[in-house]
Amino acid sequence: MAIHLPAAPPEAIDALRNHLFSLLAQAAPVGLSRVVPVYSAGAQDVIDERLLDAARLTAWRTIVSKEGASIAAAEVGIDMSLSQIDEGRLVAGMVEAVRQAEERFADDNRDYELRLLRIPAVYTVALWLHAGDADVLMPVAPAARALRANDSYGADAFTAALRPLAESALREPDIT
Amino acid sequence: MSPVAGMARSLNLAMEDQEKDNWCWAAVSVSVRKFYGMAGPRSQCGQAEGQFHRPCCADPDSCDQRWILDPNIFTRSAGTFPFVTVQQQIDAGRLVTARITWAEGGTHYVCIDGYNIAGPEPLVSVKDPFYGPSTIPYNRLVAGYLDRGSWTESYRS
Repeated sequence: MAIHLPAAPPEAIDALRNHLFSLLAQAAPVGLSRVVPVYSAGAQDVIDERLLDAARLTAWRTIVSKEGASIAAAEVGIDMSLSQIDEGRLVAGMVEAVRQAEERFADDNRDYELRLLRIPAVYTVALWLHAGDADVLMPVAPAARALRANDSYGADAFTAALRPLAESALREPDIT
Repeated sequence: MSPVAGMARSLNLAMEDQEKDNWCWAAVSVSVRKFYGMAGPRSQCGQAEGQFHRPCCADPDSCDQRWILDPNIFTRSAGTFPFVTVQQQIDAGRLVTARITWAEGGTHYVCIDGYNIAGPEPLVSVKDPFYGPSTIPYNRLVAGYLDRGSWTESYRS
């Protein structure tokens, strides 16, 4: 297996389960995927070309499924408090990106750790496949115009593509 | 279908996905206008045309830039609304719109169309034109939205 998930802290798994089951209208039967670490970075990190170095672990995320369909995702912060339960197109986008990544890298010699990278100021969520000597970014759909969802990018190309959007994000609109 | 139940109320805002990278303001303006059945542009490019006075529907990319909410729909207040105000607005059938400022700069608009007070902390239903619908603790929206966003301005509509 060329892609693996890092071991999530057991308390993250317990916290996700507890938060979800206390909130879900129908507690069962829903399934929870294995837990993915979420890293976060900012627009300035894109401009400074230190995106992956600056990214910090901020949350643990699981996909919630029911009767075989992915219906939501839930996250706890690194303090194990509930941070969000989200629905919508990014949930399906992440599931599809993982499917394509597993297929694409099945025969790769490297052993990639699966992470999720979120850069909210530039409307970008991407799978981050991290190996000791390589990083691959796969934008999750819907992707910003400068990127193609589910394509594979090296860190430099990914950062360069996002730079105009990052610069735009940091410019306040001139409404005078 | 929202997975969240309990002492909850939702106005079920149908938030449009933003059609361009920088059109959160257009998606929010059009979605809120349609929610109230107000007259005015029905499309995001039409919204952009109304605010930029340029042919944005013919050339949307030329109008893909950050901008402000439609001042004909929204009334701005500095800072956040306390949870009780959010609750009062929702109970009165009024949406709350929040301007999110990211930690390193840059802004984004989202709507709050519901709340849930069944659990240990108040939750709000957030309709985000890019990141989609979510249910999050009120305190997370105030400071910590998507890990690095803070609620910095509020809008009644």
